[in-house]
Amino acid sequence: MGRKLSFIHAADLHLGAPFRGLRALSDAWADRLLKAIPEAFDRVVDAAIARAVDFVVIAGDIFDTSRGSYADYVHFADACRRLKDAGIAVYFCTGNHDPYTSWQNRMVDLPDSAHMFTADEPAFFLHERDGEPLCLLGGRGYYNQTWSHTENISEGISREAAERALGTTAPFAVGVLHTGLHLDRLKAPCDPKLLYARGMDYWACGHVHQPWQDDAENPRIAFSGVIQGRDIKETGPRGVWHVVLEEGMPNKATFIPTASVVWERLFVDVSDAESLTAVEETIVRAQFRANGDAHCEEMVTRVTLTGTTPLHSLLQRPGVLDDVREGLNRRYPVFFCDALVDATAAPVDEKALRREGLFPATFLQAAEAQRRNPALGRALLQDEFLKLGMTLPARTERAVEELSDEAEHLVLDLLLGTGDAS
Amino acid sequence: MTAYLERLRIAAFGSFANKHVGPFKPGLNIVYGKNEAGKTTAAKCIEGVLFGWEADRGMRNTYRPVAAERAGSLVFADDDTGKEYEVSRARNADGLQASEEAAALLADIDKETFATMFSLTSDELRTLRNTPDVTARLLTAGSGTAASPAHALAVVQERLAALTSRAAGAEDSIVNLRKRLEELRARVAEAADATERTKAQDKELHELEPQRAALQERQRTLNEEIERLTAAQASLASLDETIADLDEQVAQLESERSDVLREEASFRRGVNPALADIDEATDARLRDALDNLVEERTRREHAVGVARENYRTSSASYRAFMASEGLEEGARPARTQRRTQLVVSTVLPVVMLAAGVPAFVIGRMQHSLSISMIGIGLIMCGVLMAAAALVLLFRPSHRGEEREERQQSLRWVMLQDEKKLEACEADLADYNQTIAAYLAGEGLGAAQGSLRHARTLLDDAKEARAQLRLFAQRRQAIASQRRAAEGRLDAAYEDRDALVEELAVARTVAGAAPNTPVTSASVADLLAQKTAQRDGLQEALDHVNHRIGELRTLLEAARSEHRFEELKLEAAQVQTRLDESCDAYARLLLARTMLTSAIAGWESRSQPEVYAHASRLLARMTDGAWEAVRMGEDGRLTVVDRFKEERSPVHLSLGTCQQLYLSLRIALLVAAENVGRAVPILADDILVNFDDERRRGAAESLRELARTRQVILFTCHQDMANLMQEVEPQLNLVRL
Repeated sequence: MGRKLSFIHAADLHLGAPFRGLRALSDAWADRLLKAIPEAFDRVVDAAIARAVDFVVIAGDIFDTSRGSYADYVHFADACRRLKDAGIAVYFCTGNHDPYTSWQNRMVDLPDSAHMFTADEPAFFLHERDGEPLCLLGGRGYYNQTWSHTENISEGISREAAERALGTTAPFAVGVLHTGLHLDRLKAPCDPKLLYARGMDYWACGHVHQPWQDDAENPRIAFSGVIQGRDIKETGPRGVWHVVLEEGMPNKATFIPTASVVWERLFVDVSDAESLTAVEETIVRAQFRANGDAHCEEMVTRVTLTGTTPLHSLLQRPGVLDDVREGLNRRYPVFFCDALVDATAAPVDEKALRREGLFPATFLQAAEAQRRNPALGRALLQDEFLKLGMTLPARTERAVEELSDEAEHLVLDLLLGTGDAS
Repeated sequence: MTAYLERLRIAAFGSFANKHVGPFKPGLNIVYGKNEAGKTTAAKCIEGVLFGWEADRGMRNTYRPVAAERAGSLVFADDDTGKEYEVSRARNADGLQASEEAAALLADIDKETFATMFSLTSDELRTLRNTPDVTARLLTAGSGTAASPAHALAVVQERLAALTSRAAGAEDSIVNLRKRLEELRARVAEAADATERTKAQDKELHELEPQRAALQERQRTLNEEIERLTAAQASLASLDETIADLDEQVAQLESERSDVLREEASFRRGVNPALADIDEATDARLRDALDNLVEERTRREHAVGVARENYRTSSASYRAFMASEGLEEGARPARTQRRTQLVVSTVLPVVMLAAGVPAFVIGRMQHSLSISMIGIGLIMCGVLMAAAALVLLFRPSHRGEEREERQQSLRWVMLQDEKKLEACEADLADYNQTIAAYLAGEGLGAAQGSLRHARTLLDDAKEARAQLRLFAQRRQAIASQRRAAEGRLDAAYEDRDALVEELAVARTVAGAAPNTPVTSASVADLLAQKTAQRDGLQEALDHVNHRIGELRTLLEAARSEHRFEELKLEAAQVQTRLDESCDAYARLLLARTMLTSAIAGWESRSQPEVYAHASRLLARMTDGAWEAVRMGEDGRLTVVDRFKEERSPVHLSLGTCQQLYLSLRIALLVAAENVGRAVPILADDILVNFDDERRRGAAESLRELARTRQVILFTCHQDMANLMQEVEPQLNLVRL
């Protein structure tokens, strides 16, 4: 039987990161979310200890900012000590969020079992088991928050270079990089082909927040993604890879979900609902379905109601959606509906309106004309926002078409009395 | 569905209670009644039911019945199905009581539009308030929408205003959210600074801990030093005391010694020096010698005694013989005389010699010439007398032979004995001199030859010697005590020197001048210096400990401090809401643009139609005197007379003005036929200012309006009722 190596590949802990995109958290949930990332990290540590892995690799972005809080620094150091007590080493590199420069004055002394790949040049470590070389590690992180366009972050990291630097050979070799690979061309991009040619058994990468593997059957380059989604865009399960390398066998990586709170964006069709209660029931069913898929304890959802329903005008009334949302949040404390968005439409037959040739037809023409010329819309918005003393937010600018559609529906609702006209 | 007002029930309004007005029909209705029959009351009641009772204000008649609430209801009927819908109102606060369907009938008309366009009085017709607005409202409203585009626009405007409001309650206002975000960001920055401070504190703690250890080490050393110094100080004091004691002791011993020496000297002065220092053997020898001398002298004295006894016996025999002869011969006195002469001549020289020799000796000894001369004299006398006695003795006796012989024999014996006695006594005297010489030679001269005395002297001397020995012993004791004390003193000095040397080193280390003497006081100074140092150190240590404790507490609290994260989360939420508000604002802006452009488009299409219609109506009413009504670009109305002259409505006569606005209203109401379909047009004696021709023209115009809408005309003039009936024979007349 060939020799075997097992380790946890984690990255993008983003300790201290705020949850973005939420609009109205209850105090309890705000508290819950503040603890979610540190808890997720604790789960990574627990998983490493429970699986008695050889080491833990963290491929950058341990802290969300170069000015992380004291509590987070202490938490990271404590975690490294916990791993050390269990005989597990930690190898980590720095990321664009916590570049090398921010680590130079780290105030918490990490245990000697925690090894940082320096950022100014490739660094190598030898991991031994029972005094025998087991794994060569080579890696590099971010020196400051941006990576030079002219330099390849993986340059100089190869099995051969590691053997030369460490003066020994080992059955396994693992590369650790904070890179955008070919997935994010702005952040230290790197051609996967280049990495395949370096003789490493596995490249543990960080930066991309979504779990990714080049080959699920025999992963050689992988991103573990964030350990806890912290944005309404980072939906679905998040965690780390438990990687097992064995001589003469394909690489094996098992995903360990670590997020204690999972984000879900639910689009709930309420066409069939005849009352608000039915709407609520439909949402709850959707929540349970999503929860069943996500394998998580707690879930933050953003629910968008869709479909054509006569309830549209009721849902448009001020306070109605808030009431429904609060009702939902009261019913199941493990689900938190952060926002309930009404994207339902009144049963309005636009074609018929156009045929009638009355004001709505004129309006639809005007809306159409505006949609055809989004640049004009942008200019108009920019003007109006400047009057407020601010530039047009980029995301709003990007969404002009979508907003135009919504504006059309808004006006139609007002005109046809299908929305809230007060 | 074509609904119309079928009847009105006045439950309580003005002076009426439980009064029914109606039934009305679709199309033209005329309500005829005399003054105070309740025409205006009925019109007001309809308006009140639909849009709320007029609030009590000033002196206006609000139709509030005495001691009752206003209440009324309207019954609408569907022209096609005959279905009735009742709407009613009691208290304003309860609002309009209507089924959903009934409410829908009235939804597209607001109070202002109703008052301006539907409820017409003579006064109302003088003008058309906010013409462009109302025009737009009606024109766009009559266009297949539930709410007028103008209303929609107003709502959009209102929402836009809410999103830029600075009012504290406007939670979604971009202005407020930005302000809040700015505040939060400032607080996040503060919290970040606090975090940096905490890290600095952590660093400080890491630096302070070794500092504290060093301080503690120094303190420990200093404590040991102080302990040592304190002990040294005590030792030094004790040594100094010991030295002082010993010095005193030595002095004391010295004084004791001199006392003893003085006593001994004074004692020794009273002691025979010759005997003072003899040893026991000499003493024994002397005593033996004395014993021998006593024995010898006793023996000699005994010999003298025996000789004297013999002599006395022979002398007595001789004298007895002589005495017996003298009695017989008379010769005896001569012999006796001779014998006496002999004795005298023998004894006296002997005595003289015996006295002269010692006198001579003493004189020689004392170098006294006189005593020596006396001695010599005595010796000479004794010799002379002895010679004389010898002459006398050897003078021939003249008495018988026998007697002579006898006498001779007796005398011989007697002489012999005498001689013997003399020899014995001389021997004794010699011996005594020998004794005296011996005694003098042996230092017992003071005994004056007396052996007893000499023995007493010896005894005294022995006693004195014992006494002297005692003195010597005392001296020795003192000397040995002194030696011991001096030994101890030396030791003490030695200890002190060692101590002083050690202290001198300590003091030099402490910075004192190296050659200043080390005294108990200087050690105390040093000790005070060290103690002050220790106190200073303790103070520094206390400070460090305090700071460490403080930092530990701060850092412990910082471990669970989430203020930074909380603020970031809160800022993120406000950012989200701001983003949403920006989106909503953009959406509303786009909606507003679409809506205004649609309204403009719609107006440009339908307005000419309305004004053409209004122009026709006005021309009909004025019999061609006025030809056209126009809306200027500035939104002001102008009228054109048959000479194409343009006038502003303010320059028209009252009647013409009313005709203008009636025409305009009818044209608008016809154009906006979908708006307020079920709501009747209430016209309260609006034609009173019209001349007969124009009244007919107006009546025809109303008839035209009544084709599309229910029109209820209230009048107290019979001729008006007749005119209307002429114009529209089918009209529904309701009499009050």
